Amino acid sequence: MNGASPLLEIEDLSVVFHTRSGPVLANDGVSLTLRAGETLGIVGESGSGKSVFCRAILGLAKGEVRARRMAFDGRDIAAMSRSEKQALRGRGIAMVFQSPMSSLDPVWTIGDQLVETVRHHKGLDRAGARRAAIALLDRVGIQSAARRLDDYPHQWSGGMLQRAVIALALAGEPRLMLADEPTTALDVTIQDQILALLTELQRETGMALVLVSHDLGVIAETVDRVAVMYAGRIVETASVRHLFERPAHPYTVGLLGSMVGAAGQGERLRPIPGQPPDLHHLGTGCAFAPRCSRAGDDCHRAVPRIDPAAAHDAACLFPMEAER
Amino acid sequence: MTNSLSSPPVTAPARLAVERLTVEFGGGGGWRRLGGVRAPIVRAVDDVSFAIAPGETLGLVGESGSGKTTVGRALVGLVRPTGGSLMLDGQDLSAIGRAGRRGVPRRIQMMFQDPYGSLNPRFSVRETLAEVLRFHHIVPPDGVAAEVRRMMDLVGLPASLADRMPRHLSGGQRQRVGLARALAVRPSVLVLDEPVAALDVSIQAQVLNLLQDLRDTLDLTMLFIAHELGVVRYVSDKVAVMYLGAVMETGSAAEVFTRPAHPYTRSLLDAMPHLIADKRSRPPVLGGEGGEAASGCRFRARCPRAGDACAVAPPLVELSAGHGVACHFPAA
Amino acid sequence: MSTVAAGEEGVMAAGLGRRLAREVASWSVTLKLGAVLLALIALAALMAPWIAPFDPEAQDYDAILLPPGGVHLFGTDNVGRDIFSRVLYAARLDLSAGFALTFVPMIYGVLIGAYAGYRGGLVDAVVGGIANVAIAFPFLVMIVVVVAVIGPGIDAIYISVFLLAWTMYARLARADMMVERAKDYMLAARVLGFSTKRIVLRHGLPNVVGSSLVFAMSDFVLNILLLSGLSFIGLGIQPPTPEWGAMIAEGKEFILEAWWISTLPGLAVVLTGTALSLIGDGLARRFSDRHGGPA
Repeated sequence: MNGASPLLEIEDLSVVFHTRSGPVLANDGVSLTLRAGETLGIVGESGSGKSVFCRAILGLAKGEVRARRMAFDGRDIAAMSRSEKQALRGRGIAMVFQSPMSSLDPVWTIGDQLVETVRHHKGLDRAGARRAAIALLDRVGIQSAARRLDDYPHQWSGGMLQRAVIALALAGEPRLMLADEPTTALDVTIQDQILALLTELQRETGMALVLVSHDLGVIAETVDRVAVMYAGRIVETASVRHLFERPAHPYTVGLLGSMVGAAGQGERLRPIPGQPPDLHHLGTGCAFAPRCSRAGDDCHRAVPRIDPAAAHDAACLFPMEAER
Repeated sequence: MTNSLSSPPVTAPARLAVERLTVEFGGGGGWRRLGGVRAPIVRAVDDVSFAIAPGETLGLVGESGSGKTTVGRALVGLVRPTGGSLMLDGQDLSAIGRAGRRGVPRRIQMMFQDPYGSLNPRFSVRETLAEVLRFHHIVPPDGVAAEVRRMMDLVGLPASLADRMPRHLSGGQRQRVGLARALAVRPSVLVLDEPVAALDVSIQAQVLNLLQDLRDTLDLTMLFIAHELGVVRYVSDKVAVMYLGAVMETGSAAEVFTRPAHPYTRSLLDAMPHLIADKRSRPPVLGGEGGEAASGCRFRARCPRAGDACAVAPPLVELSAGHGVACHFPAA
Repeated sequence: MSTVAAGEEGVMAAGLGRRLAREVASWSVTLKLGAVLLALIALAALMAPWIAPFDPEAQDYDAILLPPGGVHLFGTDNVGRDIFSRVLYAARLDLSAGFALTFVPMIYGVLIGAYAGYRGGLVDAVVGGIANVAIAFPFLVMIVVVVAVIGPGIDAIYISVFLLAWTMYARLARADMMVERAKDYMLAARVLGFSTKRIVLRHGLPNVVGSSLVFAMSDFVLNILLLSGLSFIGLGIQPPTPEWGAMIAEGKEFILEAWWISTLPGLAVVLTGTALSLIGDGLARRFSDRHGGPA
């Protein structure tokens, strides 16, 4: 991590879905900066906009995307041509999705898909691409990769498929990997394997990693910095250590209190009261205010903003500790 | 409450006792045999035994393919056991089974995983609950409305939601309706199949607290099925850890989680993400994946401690009172 | 089952009205348009005795092959019958026969299919076997056999369709029910100890009838065309009873000098078909909306 120009700069990103029951602000003024080789976790519950954010970066979001600035490696993404954007996907930024089974095409073999991707990125001939594909599978921990290259996706288990998806993502030697809930569909012991693999690959290649998860535990072990999202906005950013030791936003505190791992046996959980926000009917002001015990009148009037440059900041008028 | 099945209690301490339960799927049953069609037989549950005392919660933990859901479904009669027996208050469930059960609410009820699939999309909350109450004559007809309100209140649903359709409820609210529906027939045992797995963390905590409260107020006996160890540890008095259809370890939650004896239990605990801000530098706790059970100990292929003895399947033996483990080389 | 207190019944009726209003309010433009169009056609058919200016079977040799306009709004045919009156009266027959030919087999087809899908195993295999035989049986052979036994006419068509048409509905309902019965709410109904009848009829059926209803709308059109077609070749409705298909057939000889004899009944068929298609389309969207997860 050096002081050079950031790898990814997102300033004031908004994504609006126009639905039949009115517009839904899935991302609202999200700003984020990521340096080369940095690992960032985005944590949030369903509807927090964390997946939409990842898709918006890749230009895959379905809604209307607006941003003051979206730049990768100093180049404005919005100004890129179609082919430049295509080159950005895969070679600049790669993405790993939650469901490995639907990330792969069931009618082609794993090998077909890997070889095609490798050829696309590197311009290798068929034999060379096949060797590269085997090396990639080997790299992500598939035993006897050469023999299993010609298997179809349904012949592989979920854990192996997620490895294959990671191999596909690696094929373009990306400088940033977006992993959207990559282990949510997997068993605990397999999740453990995949997280170990991602950590190892990140260290080895020096790529930046954005890990999206609803599970603070997964985030804690895998990244350096965390952004907490709620109702389409980033409500707190901090280093993992600070987030766990000195959570500032009441939502973060509530999230930590809700984790069963945090409470001992027999101890009561401290859940966040109320229901998750309805994005159709977000009032003015802080989206968390209706569920927040610290909320005052001002919280219902204006949305508190966050300083994206700060090491630790919370979008809150009454943060837990005035330690910043 | 009318329950024509109430019989004098047999001298049995266990509310629910599962003995040598085996469930097989596939094969060619009935008329298919004539056609020679025969699917391979899969033994989803293999010789599983456990008992739950009244008011106690047993956590059944395991990864996918462990057979934990099948055990739960066998208990509520959704799958037919191939072998073994299920005893409720000392009474064999298969004996109660067929004969004269029409209109008798099942005394083992179930709460399901999927908040979006577990409610009939065409029934409002009121209709869902009223149907159960009426069908089984739980309360007199003129008391149904009040009872619906009482059930909703019990699970923490505001009365204003009574006429909502499921699609206008949040995931947590739906799970509460599913719970109220199960409790409406006054079950003596509640089987919960991953009741919070599909919920957001903050809502998960609400439902877990609710379950704890209900267990205390209603003196419920629960079988809590989950893949997440943290959740199981939070709600359970006792746990049984399953792997590929068999119980690997069983004991009090405190004992199993603090002094796991089976290498698989230990791996599960180690693999669980911890809420400690410390970037990992360790290798994964387990290699490989649980596929089909091999001969001998089914965990043998992935086990860091496996030896030659493991070619023979180890029986479940008691290490200490109430703490059983199926391993040739248990941790001391 | 239990008795419902009188007061509660009133509440339920009010609830039903409210629910109906809410249901209609949620309809798409397509669905509303189709419903209105079909309602108008049905109303016209119903009111035929009052609207029709002439007796549909009365011949008037002083007014042969008159073009549309004047007293004869749709003109007259080769024996001087008023086309407008005949089209109106034909609508009564076509709509009611089309309705019966569609919905009678649908009712038992869906019931049979839903039950087979729910039970699976032997029941499903037997039902499936019978359905396959019925599907493989050529309809025209069936109708010729039936006509040979009881003679041509609407009854022959009813018998043939009732024997064969349920299979499509049974298949649709069976397939949907097999998906539905694995869902948690169906499992819950079993665990709650509900009777099979209640589970299939009250819980399963409303959730599997959707695709059959959508299909029924196109089936309705096809049945009207079938009726018209069979009448056209002389196996169906016998003259002089007014029927759209029969009228089209009668007019074919005069198509060049008197286009209205065939075309205007044809237009009625097209209009009815359009209304039904719009409804089918709207229903399809309505059902996919309902199952579209959280709203």
